[in-house]
Amino acid sequence: MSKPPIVIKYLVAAASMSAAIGSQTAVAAREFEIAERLEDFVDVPARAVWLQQLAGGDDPHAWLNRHSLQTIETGSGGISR
Amino acid sequence: MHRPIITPRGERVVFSSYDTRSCHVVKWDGTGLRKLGDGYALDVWSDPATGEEWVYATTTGTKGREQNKGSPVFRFPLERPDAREVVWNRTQISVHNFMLSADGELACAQFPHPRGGFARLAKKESKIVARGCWTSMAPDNSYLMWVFDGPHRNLLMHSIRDERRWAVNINSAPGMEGFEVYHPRWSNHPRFLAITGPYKEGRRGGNLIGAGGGAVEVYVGRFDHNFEEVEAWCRLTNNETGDFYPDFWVEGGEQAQGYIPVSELAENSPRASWPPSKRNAVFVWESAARHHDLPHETESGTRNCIVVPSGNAVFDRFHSMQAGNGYFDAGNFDAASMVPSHGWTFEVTFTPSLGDLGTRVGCIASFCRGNGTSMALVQRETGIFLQPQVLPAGSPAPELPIFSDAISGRTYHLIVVMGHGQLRTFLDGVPGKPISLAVPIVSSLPPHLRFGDGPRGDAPWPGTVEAVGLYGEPMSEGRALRHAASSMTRAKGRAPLPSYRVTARLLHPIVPPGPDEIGVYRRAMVVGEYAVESKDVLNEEQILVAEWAVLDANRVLPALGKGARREFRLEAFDEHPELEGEREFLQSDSDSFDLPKYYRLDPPESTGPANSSNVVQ
Repeated sequence: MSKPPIVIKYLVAAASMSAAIGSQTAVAAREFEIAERLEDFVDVPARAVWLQQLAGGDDPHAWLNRHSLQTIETGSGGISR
Repeated sequence: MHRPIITPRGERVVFSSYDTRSCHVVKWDGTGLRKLGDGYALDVWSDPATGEEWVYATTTGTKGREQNKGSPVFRFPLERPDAREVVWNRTQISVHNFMLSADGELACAQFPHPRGGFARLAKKESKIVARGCWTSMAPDNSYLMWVFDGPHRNLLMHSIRDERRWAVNINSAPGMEGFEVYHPRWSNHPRFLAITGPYKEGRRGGNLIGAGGGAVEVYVGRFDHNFEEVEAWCRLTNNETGDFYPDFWVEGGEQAQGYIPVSELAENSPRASWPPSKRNAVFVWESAARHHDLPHETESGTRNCIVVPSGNAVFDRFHSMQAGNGYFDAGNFDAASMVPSHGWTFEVTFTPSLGDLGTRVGCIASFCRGNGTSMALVQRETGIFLQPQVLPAGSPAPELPIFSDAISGRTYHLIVVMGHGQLRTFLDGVPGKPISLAVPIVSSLPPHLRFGDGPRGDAPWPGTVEAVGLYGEPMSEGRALRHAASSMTRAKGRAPLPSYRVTARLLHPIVPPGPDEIGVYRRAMVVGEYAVESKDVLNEEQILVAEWAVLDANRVLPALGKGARREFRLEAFDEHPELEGEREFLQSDSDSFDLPKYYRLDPPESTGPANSSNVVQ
């Protein structure tokens, strides 16, 4: 039986604070592998959130201002979402 | 968008808008986005009494560095964002990171950058513990916090309860290549943290944090049980864009065991279990009442660690070694199994008795071969010294002082660690300064381990020794602390017994047995019946007094005639469980069993040949 998919998603887009973007489950294979390692690493359901830079730029602090919320979630014995 | 924080139950994410200076919440599934009001969200906290989730936030400046500072800090329930109340307005704080202990009493912060410390919110007090940034507070009530160091490589850990400090490196994770890391933040589980890195962009030697870069990924780390190092890492992202400001949440994290200060371990452990670890143990002896087996390549598969008393050595009421004028040798001590280059650790718990030592030197423990000593732990007056065979580099003194103010009757725990070319001690869990040795390590520990005297029998030591361990590896600081806490717990609550200096007259002659009369025993007691003369000290008419007559197959008590007047120090016999099972010879009428029975504490009067029969009238 295959495991349910790991979800790495854009939770909130930076460009429009008023609209939450739903789950985006298109996950690169390498990220799936990472999430599987996380599942082994923690051994219980776990969640992480962070900011991902949307674009670079000349402003050295661009990474503070242009990004989206990303999340990842795992569950024990499989992925919970 | 800035600083996402997962709420205590893991169901939502609180975050801030850097542009509009407002904070927001969104459900984990991406629905339910709503504004919570003005301010920059610093932390989320669950009231342990009600389960209500709170947001702590601040009002930040709008320009330059002031954007990262705020005042006051206020809070509001997640469901009632208008019910705001100020919790800290004594100083500005930097927004990275204001984090609460589980009970909400303490918060770490920078007051502001780079003054890292903590605040007792109700008392409106703050204390600075280190310069740095990105403070973080353990999510439990251990009151363990860190300040991230200036080079952005180490967490400067600070245990608020016992004021211990140490550093934990976090830029050595695979993939970090020694570059700077950033955003270290404790998760809701005390063992896990999240960071980002490596920061490679920008001018070498400058502050690379500001440059960000696509190589920056999110990592989560797991502390070891002692919070001395990050024992494992897991990279969460792998992409070409930068990833920043992580927060990590683990189901059940609020129930997990966090850091326990040594003092608390000793205070709160319901039952001492010593040693907490026998890893690489070569010899482990706790007490005469609790022997330990170690694995061994023999038919039985185990090796029982024992101590063998010689001379007047006996056990005390805690089953500890009380060498008196004798000594104990470690039996089944297999020094050959140790690999000298791996280092070693010696652990001992001892209780000095100053009055009986006088001004001479007493040997608490020694490693010896024949008449030579390789290493000894000695006492001179109130000073405790280590005498290593290998002298410290550049030091003419053959002794290393451990401490100088030993108190009679107080129990001390000492760990001596030899490894990596250094000798280090831990006294009651407090680490001493490492001492470099001229030669990397004592070439090998000799096969003889003795307690209570030196190899030549000229340094008897009058205290007691217990919980002794020898390990074939240098013990880590964390393990040393756990051993210290465990041993301190064992000795907790010990109180002196009432003792009586009694003058009494012997009612029946005492004829001590000879060694040939006690069969397989090497020691025996006699129990005499006495009429008490000093009734102001002990209000009894007649008593029984048990004392040693034969020790180590030698008669240590002369024959005593009826009417002999004696003065001795006594304790209730029933308070001395170590005497259960000892061979006893009652020197009285058989109907005297009901008399109160005492144990004579004074050292034996003499050590004579087995057939000695001097009669004292």
